[in-house]
Amino acid sequence: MKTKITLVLMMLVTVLNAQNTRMENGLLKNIKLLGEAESTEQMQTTTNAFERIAEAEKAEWLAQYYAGYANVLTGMRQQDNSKKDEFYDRALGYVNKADEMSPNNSEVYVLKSWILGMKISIDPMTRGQSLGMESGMLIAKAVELNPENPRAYFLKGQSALYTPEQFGGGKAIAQPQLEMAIEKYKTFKPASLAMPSWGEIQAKAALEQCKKM
Amino acid sequence: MKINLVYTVNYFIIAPEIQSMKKALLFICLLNYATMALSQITFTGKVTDNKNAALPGVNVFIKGGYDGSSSSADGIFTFATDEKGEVVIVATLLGFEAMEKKVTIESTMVTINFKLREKANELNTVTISAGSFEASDERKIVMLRPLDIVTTAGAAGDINGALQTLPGTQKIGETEGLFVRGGEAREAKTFIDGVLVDNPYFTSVPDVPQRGRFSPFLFKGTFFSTGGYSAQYGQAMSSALILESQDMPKTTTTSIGIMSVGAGLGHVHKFKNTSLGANINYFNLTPYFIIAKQNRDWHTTPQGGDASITLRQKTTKNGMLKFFVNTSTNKLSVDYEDIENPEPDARYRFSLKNKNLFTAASYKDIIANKYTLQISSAYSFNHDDIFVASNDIEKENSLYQNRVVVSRPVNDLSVIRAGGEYQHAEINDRFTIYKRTYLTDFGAAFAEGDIYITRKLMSRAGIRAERSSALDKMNVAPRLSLAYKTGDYSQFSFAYGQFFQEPDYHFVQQQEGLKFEQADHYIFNFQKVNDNQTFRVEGYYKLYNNLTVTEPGINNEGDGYSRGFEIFWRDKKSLKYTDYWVSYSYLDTKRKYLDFPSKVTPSFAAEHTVSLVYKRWFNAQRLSAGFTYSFASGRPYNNPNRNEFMSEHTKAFHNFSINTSKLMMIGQHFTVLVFSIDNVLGVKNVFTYRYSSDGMRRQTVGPPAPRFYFLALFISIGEDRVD
Repeated sequence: MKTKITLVLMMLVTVLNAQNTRMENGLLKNIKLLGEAESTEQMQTTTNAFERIAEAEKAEWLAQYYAGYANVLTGMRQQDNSKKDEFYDRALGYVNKADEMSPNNSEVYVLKSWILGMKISIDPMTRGQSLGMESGMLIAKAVELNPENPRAYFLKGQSALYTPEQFGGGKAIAQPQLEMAIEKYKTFKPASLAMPSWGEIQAKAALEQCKKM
Repeated sequence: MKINLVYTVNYFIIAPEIQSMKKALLFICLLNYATMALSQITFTGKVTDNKNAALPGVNVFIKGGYDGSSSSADGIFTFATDEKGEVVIVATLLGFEAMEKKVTIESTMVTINFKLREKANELNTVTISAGSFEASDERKIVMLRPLDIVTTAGAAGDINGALQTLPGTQKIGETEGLFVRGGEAREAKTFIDGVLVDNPYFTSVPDVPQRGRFSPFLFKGTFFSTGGYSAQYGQAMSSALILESQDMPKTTTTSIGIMSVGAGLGHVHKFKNTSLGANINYFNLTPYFIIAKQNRDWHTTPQGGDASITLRQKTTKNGMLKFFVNTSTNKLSVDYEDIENPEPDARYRFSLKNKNLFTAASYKDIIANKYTLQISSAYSFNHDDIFVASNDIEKENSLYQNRVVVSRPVNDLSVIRAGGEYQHAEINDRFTIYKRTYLTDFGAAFAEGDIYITRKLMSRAGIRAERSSALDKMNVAPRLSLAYKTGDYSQFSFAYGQFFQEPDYHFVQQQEGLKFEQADHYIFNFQKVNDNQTFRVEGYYKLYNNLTVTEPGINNEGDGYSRGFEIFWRDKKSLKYTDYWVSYSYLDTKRKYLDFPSKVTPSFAAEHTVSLVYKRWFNAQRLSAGFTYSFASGRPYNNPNRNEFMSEHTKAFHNFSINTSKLMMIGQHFTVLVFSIDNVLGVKNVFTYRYSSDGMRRQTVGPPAPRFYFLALFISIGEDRVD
């Protein structure tokens, strides 16, 4: 009897593991594709793949996270502002789901803050004040939740870089944040391969740009 | 990796039954092979839109599984799966309605095609546009954004000031209110979250137009109707200004305002499902009047303050409770030249003390999955103590109201709604020792449907029934709007409606048997709107009946008409960082009412009205600068020395106003510095002339000051923004 139970349990655990591994493999494959994607069409195809994983893994925050992440990146490639907005709104939908499944997750806060930042860039005059405040609040919270998260500093630095000095942005504010981000990237180890680990190259590029300014 | 694990498990389970290790492995391999061979099913097909054009990038997949792919440039998709039996195939694409198809897998190759329908959006779906202007952040295609209201030169941050730059409104400078398409200010009503606002402006002072009581920042949406509005609203023969209050704020914020005329402080705290806000404002024009020259002889400069509390409570996923209370008080006194007194320096004093309370609660939720229920309840109270010369006047009015609206969608676009409202009003007047009380109960019921025949053609048909106890009469008013989309950005719209209104309570008090006054509207509208440019032309005919006349006796024998056309053009595209709009209104109106001896154009109607609003954003300086130029042709006035009534015209009205606002940071806080000058050129406008009853003396009624300067600093402090 005992062995039977152990066997069933073992089976259950491994099946669950298998399921997770399946998701992880799917995510890893598509993260790679997303990095290699050159055309908007390829971006869209990869985003679709992420969305399929998110739909299949309805309870996994990481799957929702990547569906959101892919949508922002694809949105950024669009020419038309209202199309961009549709992608960002779709991304927000996924990130909000991720937030529900994994509350107080620094990575989710980073992503959400970033999406809001992208939404602001479409119409800074009307959206700047209301969304700007929310976006700033989210990124501050992301740092608070995990001071070791390099992406939180990267995003802080990057948004400061694109915010004029009059609004509390500018090079002087951006540079230490970006340097801090690069510092944190050196020691940052994602809990598993598929966990968010993006941004290091972009952070370095942003710092280069910052130094040139 | 995965296969190894799964098969290890399989082995353990199978092991007790199968003795030989080799046999087990063989069994597993066979099983594996068999499953592979049996279950590799290929799905293929084409995705098109309604017009059979191929749709690329469509995500086609098996619901709940990993298997799927994206359609290519020719709309073709192909993918393989191990699934068996009955599956659901989903096709999704941004901007299109998702589609699901149930398939029973019977062969190794399944062909399945999808025809996706574009989601209803503002480009492919028509909306009612006749007679309406909307300011909203939520909708893409609107005439105005809420921010436009505060950044329009000459509007001085007042909702009505901004609305006066839109077609259909008159530039009336001697009193407050909206004079729309030949209608008086009393024919325009203001509603907040569905309930009537009894005293939307500060109490009227002779020849000094008053501001609205409510800050534009309180509202997320402003819907301004210049005619033909919905059956949900009534008792306004010309216009309805429908304001929708802000929802739950996103963050906790403190705001500070320091102005040349006063100061304000506000704080809103955001909890998880609740927000609580408080605001106080104080104004005192004494320092300002010392510096800036005034045309009025102020004895007590205007001063006062207001306090308000807002509460938002999210009750369920869709449920929201809103509560708002605002109380304000102000006082002032002015010395006027006494035109009836032949002495050259004769004066009389007008003084006013006002107390006002407005409180409203509303609850909105979706019940039984499809019915949207909105319940509102409001109480307002206003008290004026007025001295004119040596006469002591007191006016107190209170209004209690309840309102319920239920709506439900009929299909994905059409909605039907029905509801009712009840109002109880009490007015207590005292003129020296004479007191009078006026009581009325008013009830209304309405039903209407926004019915989409296709996405390009819709109708809104409604009916409203009202009953007033003071008149002891009821009315039934039909309303109808039609809209037809002619292109991606263009549409035609038509509106018809009957609009009833109780005569002014003074007359109802004095004369029994009065009827509702009535206006019938006919409106044709064409508009072409995209993200950055708006063109709109509208023509209308308005017929007035049963207007109240006072000479020789009080009765309902007055009538009148208004007709005209209006053009509106807004362009944010052609010039970089520049946004401008132009509106032109032509108005032909005549009426016989009050003590008019004949049917004439009233003094509040100019034939031609033009506004040009220009705003330019200077990116490097973070500065926005703009101007508003307004023109109105001369308005009629009555010279009692002429035989013909209302036969003379004032000279044309010109106003050039500028404003700038600079965005900056003080510490970590968003700050806006605003500076504006109204009537920069100091044009000596004449609104009307007033004659003594013997016709011997005449007074010019012009603006209360040659120019108006305004300087303010608004700071908003987000609590979590500070590092």
